[in-house]
Amino acid sequence: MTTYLLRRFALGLCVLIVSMLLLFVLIYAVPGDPAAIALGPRASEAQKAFFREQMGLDQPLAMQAASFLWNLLHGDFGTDILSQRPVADLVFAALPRTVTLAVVGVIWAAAIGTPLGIWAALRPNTFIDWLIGVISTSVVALPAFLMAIYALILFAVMLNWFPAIGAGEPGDLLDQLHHLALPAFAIGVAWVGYIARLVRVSMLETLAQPHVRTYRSFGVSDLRIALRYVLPIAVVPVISVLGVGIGNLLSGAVLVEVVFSRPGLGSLAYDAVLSRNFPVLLGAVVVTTGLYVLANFLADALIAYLDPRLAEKG
Amino acid sequence: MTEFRLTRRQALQRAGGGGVALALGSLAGTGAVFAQENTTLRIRNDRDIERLDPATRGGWYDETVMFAIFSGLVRYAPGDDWTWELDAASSIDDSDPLHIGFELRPGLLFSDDHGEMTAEDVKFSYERFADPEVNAVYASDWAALDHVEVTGTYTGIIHLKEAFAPLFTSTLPHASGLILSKAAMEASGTKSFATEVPACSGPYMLDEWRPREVIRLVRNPGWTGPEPYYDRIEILPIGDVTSAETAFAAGDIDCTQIAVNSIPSYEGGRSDLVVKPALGYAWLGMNVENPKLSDLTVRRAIQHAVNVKQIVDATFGGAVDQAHGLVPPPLPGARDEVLYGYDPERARELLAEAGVQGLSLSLTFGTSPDLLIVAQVLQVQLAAVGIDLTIRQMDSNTMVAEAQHPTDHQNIELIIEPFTTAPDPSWVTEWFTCDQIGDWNFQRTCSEEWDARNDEALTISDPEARAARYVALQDELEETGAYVFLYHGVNAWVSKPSVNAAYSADAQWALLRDFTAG
Repeated sequence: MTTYLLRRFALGLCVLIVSMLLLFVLIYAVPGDPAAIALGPRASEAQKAFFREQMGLDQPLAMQAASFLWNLLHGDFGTDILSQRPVADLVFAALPRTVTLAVVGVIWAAAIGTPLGIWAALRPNTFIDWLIGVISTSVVALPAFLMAIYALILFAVMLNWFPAIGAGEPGDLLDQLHHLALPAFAIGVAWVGYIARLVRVSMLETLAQPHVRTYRSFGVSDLRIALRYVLPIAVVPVISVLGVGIGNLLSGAVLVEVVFSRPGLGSLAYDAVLSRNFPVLLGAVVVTTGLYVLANFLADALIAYLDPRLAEKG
Repeated sequence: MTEFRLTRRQALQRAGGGGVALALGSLAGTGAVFAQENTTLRIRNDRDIERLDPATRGGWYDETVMFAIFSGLVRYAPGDDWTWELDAASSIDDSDPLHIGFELRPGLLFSDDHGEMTAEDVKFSYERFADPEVNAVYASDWAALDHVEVTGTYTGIIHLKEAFAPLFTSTLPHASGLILSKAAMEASGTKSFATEVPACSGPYMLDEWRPREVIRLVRNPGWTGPEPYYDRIEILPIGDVTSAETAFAAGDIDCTQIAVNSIPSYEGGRSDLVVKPALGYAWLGMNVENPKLSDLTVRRAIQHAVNVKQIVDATFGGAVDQAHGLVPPPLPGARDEVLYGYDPERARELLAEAGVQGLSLSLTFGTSPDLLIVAQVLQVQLAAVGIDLTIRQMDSNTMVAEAQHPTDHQNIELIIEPFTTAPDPSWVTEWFTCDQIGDWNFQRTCSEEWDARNDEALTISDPEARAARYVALQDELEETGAYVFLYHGVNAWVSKPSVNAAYSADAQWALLRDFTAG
């Protein structure tokens, strides 16, 4: 298993480096002069040139890319071209908020979706199975931002149960949880349906295995079979999908953070794109990519732990 | 419960707006039921702060904060007129346009123990605009400055090289007239700053800034001018206007700017609605270097083909008036009528005269949903005279990059890029000079003579003569055929009834130090 994990780790590193280089090239291919945007229309050509020189934007692209990677290796993410603050400060201030949002979104989605999937699998082709199927499929199609909007209207504006914007006061955990509730709900709701469908299919496949029939013949109850012997196997593809799904959740976080004015990585990247604040954009995207790679690696590790046969196959 | 009203256009615009489509305008305001803490004001800023240095500041989002934490000799008075009032100065002598005398109020202290404000600070603050190391983006505001003479601890004279009409309209009362602490700047060891303010000179000072989350202002204990009402102001950077309206409806903020198409939803409601004519200008520009538009007759035909009133009514439903020029009322030089108005018959004649048949053009503009409606109405109007219009809507910065590109600018045919301006007509016309080709003059019209007379307008002291000059300058731009003036827009704000809000004459800025409890 160690070899398997090392191989996965190396692969993750390669993905990170290649994606960073690709992103660098793509980001700088976006039209729009960062100097002109940062300084505004009244800046003279000399002022813009001075600014480009200060920010290293006058260097050839390859030089900028090399410099970016070298600085990154030394923990230097560059400088925000607007506020002149270190990008690392901005990114790592936003990071915990986005990670919390994504993780809480996944956790509550899994907490609801998994039992629903199990329930549907234990009652196949019944009204319950049909009802769960309809609800699951319906919510899967709902974009996170749309859920965010309806959640805002209902729970923030009409009922005044939750705040509409912000992330809460630092150091006040209850306040932060209060501010987290609606965004986490919005970002996770589609995953409830997705996870329920996945668990159901996976459970049904596993329930059809010969060893399950053996358990039944020994008189083991359906619920015990499902939870003790079937679920650990059936949940493997779900974990695998969740690993990839973290990427989707992070991209979904962009709009949810914009709608809730929540200062996370998504809204940081969104603002940076609009203002062509490339150092901040790169910093946000690099960290997001790193999170994505890390989530996949953790999913691989968990799968290897749950089903060692997969690790042996490589 | 609140009354919910949503027009079809609002629904479409919000849905088309990219996701934050929300039917909240009609909900907002009446939901502001939280008890108001009279000592804390929570207000939205549409962007986060970027640079608070008067010489290198970003835009209105910075200036809103700057006007609260710095003082100038004079400042814009809140209300409906563009007038100024004394701020840090106890008196101003403007009887001689080349030598402006001033006297500071004694006892105004900078924050963080940087001492009392003196005439030396005024000299430092204004003369630094010419320092190349400051790299002042707003250097042109003080281009006419010769030097500031310090005649006493609190007194001095601003000596100008030549008369400069915008001095009391868009320099001294504006952010370029704000006063920094010379001692604090020297102690900081930097020539300019971004968000780490060395010392504040206004009624408030920066207490905390959590980027993209909150800017918290508290009273400046050294301020001895008129006491502001609120102990604390929390400014929340909320980029999306619909999210801001939602936050207002939920009671999370006390005051916010709203979208123009949300105005009807707040009319007659419990919230205080303020709508003021904006200092903005939107026009349909034609790239005269594009072969399809190089013929003046064709451009003139397009001017006659456009029914501006219909466009403005369709887009804003009566909330906005049509423009008759670039300079927005009530600034001197605002025009009452256009030279080449709507006349589709004449448009068809001119196209025939030019020998043009089946003309196909593109219209490029940014992501504003309002502009999409403008474009769609234009499409219909131009089709009526035989011109096929293709819509090219794109990210504004991408559009500007294309329009400024040495070769790609050829892709631009018709273009709309609304601008906002300061309360002086010189800020409006400066973008249409020959020097601005390749920068912000997307029409690429050029006349050295026009440029010279535009420069000269800066020095005309007589208000009537100056207004007449700007009218003439706009007439000449319209004569080029490259401009169809569309609208100036409005700025609309809502605040809870418990808040007495204060804005500049165009409501571009919330004047935070003038807010009181309602």
